[in-house]
Amino acid sequence: MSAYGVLFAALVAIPLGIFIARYRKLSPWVFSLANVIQTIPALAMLAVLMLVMGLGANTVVFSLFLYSILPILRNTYTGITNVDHSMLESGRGMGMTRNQLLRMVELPLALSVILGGIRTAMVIAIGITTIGTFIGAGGLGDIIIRGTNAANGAAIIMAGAIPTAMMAIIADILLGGLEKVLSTSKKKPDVSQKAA
Amino acid sequence: MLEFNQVTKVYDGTEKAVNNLTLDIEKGEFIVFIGPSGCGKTTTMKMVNRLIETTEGSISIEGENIKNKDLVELRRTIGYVIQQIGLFPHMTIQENISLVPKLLKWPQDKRRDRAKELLKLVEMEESYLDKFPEELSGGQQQRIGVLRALAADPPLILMDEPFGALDPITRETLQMEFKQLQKSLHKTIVFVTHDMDEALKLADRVVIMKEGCVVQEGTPSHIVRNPANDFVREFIGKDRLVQNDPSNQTVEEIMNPNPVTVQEDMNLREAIKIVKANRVDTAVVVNEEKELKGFIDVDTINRYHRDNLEVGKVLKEFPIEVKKGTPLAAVIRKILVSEVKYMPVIDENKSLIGIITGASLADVVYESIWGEEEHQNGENETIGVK
Ligand SMILES: Nc1ncnc2c1ncn2[C@@H]1O[C@H](COP(=O)(O)OP(=O)(O)O)[C@@H](O)[C@H]1O
Ligand SMILES: [Mg+2]
Repeated sequence: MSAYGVLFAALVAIPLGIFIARYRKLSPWVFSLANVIQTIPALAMLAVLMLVMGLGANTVVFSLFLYSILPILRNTYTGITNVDHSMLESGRGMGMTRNQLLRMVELPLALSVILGGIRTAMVIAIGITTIGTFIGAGGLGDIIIRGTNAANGAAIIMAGAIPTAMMAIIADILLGGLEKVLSTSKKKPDVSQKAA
Repeated sequence: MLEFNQVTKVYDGTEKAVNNLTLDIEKGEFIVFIGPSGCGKTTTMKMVNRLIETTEGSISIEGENIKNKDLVELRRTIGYVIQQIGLFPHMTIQENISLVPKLLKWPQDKRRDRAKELLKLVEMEESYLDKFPEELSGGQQQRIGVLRALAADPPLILMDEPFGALDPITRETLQMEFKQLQKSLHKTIVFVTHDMDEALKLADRVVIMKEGCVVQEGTPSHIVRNPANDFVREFIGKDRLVQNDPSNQTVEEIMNPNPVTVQEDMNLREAIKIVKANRVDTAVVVNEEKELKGFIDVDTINRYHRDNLEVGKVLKEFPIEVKKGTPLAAVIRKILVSEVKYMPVIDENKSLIGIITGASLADVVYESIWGEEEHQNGENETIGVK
């Protein structure tokens, strides 16, 4: 369930990030909007969305989607705007079209940073999904709530909380590993900085 | 082949980065733009592949205004090398080299073959093809940067301080390699630098710029001999005004073109007669085709004159021979380290065309020491040996 929200967010935020990296004037506007969403407390967000969309998994996925947008958007934007200028110049000088430049140079070089954004989003998402139980979305959160309602529910709470934490940690490690693999085999542009 | 016609570039503001530049560059010419930082060299170069658009005037390639060409196609037919090298870190060496061919949609195996072929030009092994740029030294990376510009065989190549970021020794190696490469490839090259040594070494023609204007243009030796004004003189540097002379000269200019020779199949008595008649202590031995065989000297004569052998049987071989076209500087070094008195000069058929003696070299050294004074006295013109 957490993955869905992040996935949808990535589908929207990555193209949006690319777009505002190209038209930088738009970026402050887009970022302030995304920031506003991010500062709404999770429970409040769920509550509001619940009023609009009713109870259920869809509501949680939608709020995950909203929360994941900012980290992915921010990293996509940073990743692309930080691509070394000399890379762009040699690409353009060799006759790449705007799209080829994006596909063959900018995106590959920004990939590890974008993945970093997805990783952050994923960790946040797992936390929120757990809260999602309050609006009846099921999942591990259910177990935790059952524990708090039982007489001596510590064990039950643990049974819910530990897997939740584990999931967050494992997702973080997996994505972190992927990020590292990508940034070592696809080397960062550092040579030119030494030169300059 | 490449024409600048009253080209002016104004970035925002009123200052002209390039001011009314008119220049004709011929096919196969190696042209070097040089000048202090900020004089507009990079701007000039980037206007050719339209990374920067001209404000006024026009630039044409093979008679066609570049404004009328498709931007992307124009750039794919112009090689481009920058100081920051700009290899793509996420692509292998092969992918980097064959990027323009890929944009031009060459089939995969043709791209790979081309990359192999190019690596051979700079004597790098094929195993580099699958490495990433980070695994290469700075010098190797820039070699790849140059190959990448050559990949689709463009007739025109732009190079913006390509060796500027390399250490001095690597830089010199690459300069020599590249000059050699250029001779065999016959490309038109527009090269930007602020290093006068580099410009004099590489250029067919040097264009000296200052504040967006051309101050002087001409061959390296012309500029060194006839600097147009104090700015140029200062920019070239006093040392080079003089030093450049011997280093630009080749052995033909100082050799004695008519050394005393004897035939290989003469007997020694005849040879001795010739030696005596010419009052020399050494004679060069050649065969009927004037092909160089060796020499005989006083020592040979003393030892064998009674035996009256054929010259070919008693001759000694020269420890060092030099080929036509060898720069004088290289010869001076050789003579100094090997203590030989004479060096024959031969052409590509091994035929003797002259000889360099200690005396002719002494003249050169003398001139390069005293030549400077001549300059200051205003007698200027040809330093070196007449
Ligand atoms: N993109 C730009 N915008 C504004 N001014 C520029 C730009 N690029 C270069 N200039 C100015 O144009 C002049 C020439 O620069 P440039 O061609 O880079 O010189 P060079 O390559 O000879 O060092 C300089 O005064 C520089 O400040
Ligand atoms: Mg420059």
